[in-house]
Amino acid sequence: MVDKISQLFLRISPYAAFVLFPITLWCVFFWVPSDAFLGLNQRIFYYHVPAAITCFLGFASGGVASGIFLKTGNKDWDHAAHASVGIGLLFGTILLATGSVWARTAWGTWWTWDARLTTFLVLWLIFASYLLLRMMADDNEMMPRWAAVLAIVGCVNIPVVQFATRLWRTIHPQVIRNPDGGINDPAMQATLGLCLLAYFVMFSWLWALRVRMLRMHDRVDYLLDEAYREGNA
Amino acid sequence: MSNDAATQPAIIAERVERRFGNFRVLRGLSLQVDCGSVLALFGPNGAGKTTLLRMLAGLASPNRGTATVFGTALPGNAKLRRRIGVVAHDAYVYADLNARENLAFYTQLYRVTDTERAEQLIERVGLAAAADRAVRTYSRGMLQRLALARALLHRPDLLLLDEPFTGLDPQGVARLIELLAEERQRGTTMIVTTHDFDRGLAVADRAAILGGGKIAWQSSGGLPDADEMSRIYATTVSPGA
Amino acid sequence: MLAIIWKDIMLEMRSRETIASLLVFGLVVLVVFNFALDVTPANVLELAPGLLWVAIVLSAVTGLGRTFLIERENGCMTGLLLAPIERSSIYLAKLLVNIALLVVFEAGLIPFFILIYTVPIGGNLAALCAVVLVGTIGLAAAGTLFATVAAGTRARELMLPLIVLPLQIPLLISAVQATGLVLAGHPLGDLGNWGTILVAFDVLFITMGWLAFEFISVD
Repeated sequence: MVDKISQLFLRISPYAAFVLFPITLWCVFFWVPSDAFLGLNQRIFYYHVPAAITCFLGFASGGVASGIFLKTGNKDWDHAAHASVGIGLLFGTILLATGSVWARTAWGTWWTWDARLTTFLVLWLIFASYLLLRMMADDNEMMPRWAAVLAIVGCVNIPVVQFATRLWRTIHPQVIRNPDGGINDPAMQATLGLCLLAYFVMFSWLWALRVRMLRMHDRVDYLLDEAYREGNA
Repeated sequence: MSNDAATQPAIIAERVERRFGNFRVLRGLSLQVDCGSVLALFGPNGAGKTTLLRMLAGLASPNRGTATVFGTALPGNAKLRRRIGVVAHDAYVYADLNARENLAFYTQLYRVTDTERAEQLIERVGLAAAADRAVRTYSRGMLQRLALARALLHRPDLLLLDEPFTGLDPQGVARLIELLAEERQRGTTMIVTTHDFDRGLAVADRAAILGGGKIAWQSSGGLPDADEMSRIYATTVSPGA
Repeated sequence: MLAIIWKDIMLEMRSRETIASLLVFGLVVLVVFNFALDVTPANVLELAPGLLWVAIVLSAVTGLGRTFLIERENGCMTGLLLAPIERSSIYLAKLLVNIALLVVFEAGLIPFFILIYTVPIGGNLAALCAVVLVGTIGLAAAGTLFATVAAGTRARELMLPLIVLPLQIPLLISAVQATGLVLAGHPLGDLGNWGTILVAFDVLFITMGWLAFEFISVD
């Protein structure tokens, strides 16, 4: 199933991405009106919010794929989880970077320990440790299972992290569904939707490429072992 | 009991495949071992002997194919593990405890009710003199003896012995062969892997060669002697095969 | 399960290695922080909760790896996995041993902490101990689960903190806040959501460890 999904993405997503991203650029920089209060720099939000959603999507699907892997033992799902977390982390990095740039102009600081920023930084760290674990134990046959458990534990921990940091402090703007100052303009909503779609497409493409790469990596390992065995026998 | 057609075999493995990382160690291995029979398993390094025993002990499940031990599909459960004893490369004993304490721990873990059992086994494997010394001070052979006592502690119905002769002195080997003969009398099913044809054939009533992740050869009827066995081995495990 | 607990305690009593290194490490952290932060009677209430928890968390995360190291020698972990017990009870046994170890460690650390920083504890020592205990259970639950994992990686001592510290951030936040409230003289009933997070974290990680241990121990 993982194979079929990634094949499909590889066939469709590159074209979709090449069409969608130029359109989002035009929308964000020329078409959509500036926010009345926040001004020009608010436009980064169209790339910032989709990054947050895509990052969540990556971590969550990493958790789900890990669960399926533990249940079935099918290595394809391990690759799917590995790719999801890796690409999710990439989008998490985009999220933190764009957020930081925006915070500099809006709040006058590159970083602040606001609840949402902190949540994502913590999640970023949790899933970075997932990739590190995979690197540090690549000689251990149990590693995929360990990584899977870590991904699931990380996902289950997300609400706890969110709750704790929100309780801790918050100054992050509530943009969506906030009657005063939120985005009510249809053009803004359309742009956001389009950017979200473009990000999903990008995610699926990168994910599929990564899955294919991991499969090939395994295949090479297998063939090397095989060749070594043959040479040795 | 072993000839009773009504009793099901102790081990049935059908087209079992087991990977280690990305490498397929077992490649469609099929094997049947009757209750009460003793199988001597030969094969070159890396043929998958240890992997097979680990799988039978419930430490790993087959990636493909099916394997059952006493009718329970692997990787089995706690009830099945109660019936299996393992002697492997590692002795599974704590270096900072002495032989008595180690066996007392496993007596509790396996819920062995016979309180004399551990003491008797220490005597039988020839560790009585060293029983109060921390295991850290033991030699390889002494560790092997203790591992044997540990594996026999709960009177298992299936005994898996991975190269049990390694490190043992001639006296230790004699004691091991004697103990295994007793277990065989008792009707314990056993698999013994070894590179020593003489010793392997001395304790077994069946022999097999593991090669290329499969059973490459197995005895039918009587056992060959060691010389014949080494000839069979040489042709079965030929270089480049 | 009792057999494993008893065996671990016996081994620890014999060597006292883990508890000694935990204690000394904890003290070192407390002392080092004094120079890093310059704690004075004026700011002690502000800084003390954080100091205490940084000392506890860092010691725990470096010390807990040891519980599975004693199972590495002679392949003892395999011996446990072969035994006719549920794999999840191996986790629970190790968890209880780790909680016991950490409690003994904290019993030594907390008096020292109160003493050297002259923390005004008032009549709230029992409440402080309760917060520390609940926090410790959560620390041990996550630490025990990933200690087996870290033991199998190349950079063992580094890997456990790397995995466990980010996971424990909600616990750390809540424990520090709850300790702050307790030190300021509030009773346990005033902890509100901080208490809830601490307990929820404990329940969540014990459950996950119990469920996941089979998956991480055998293939």
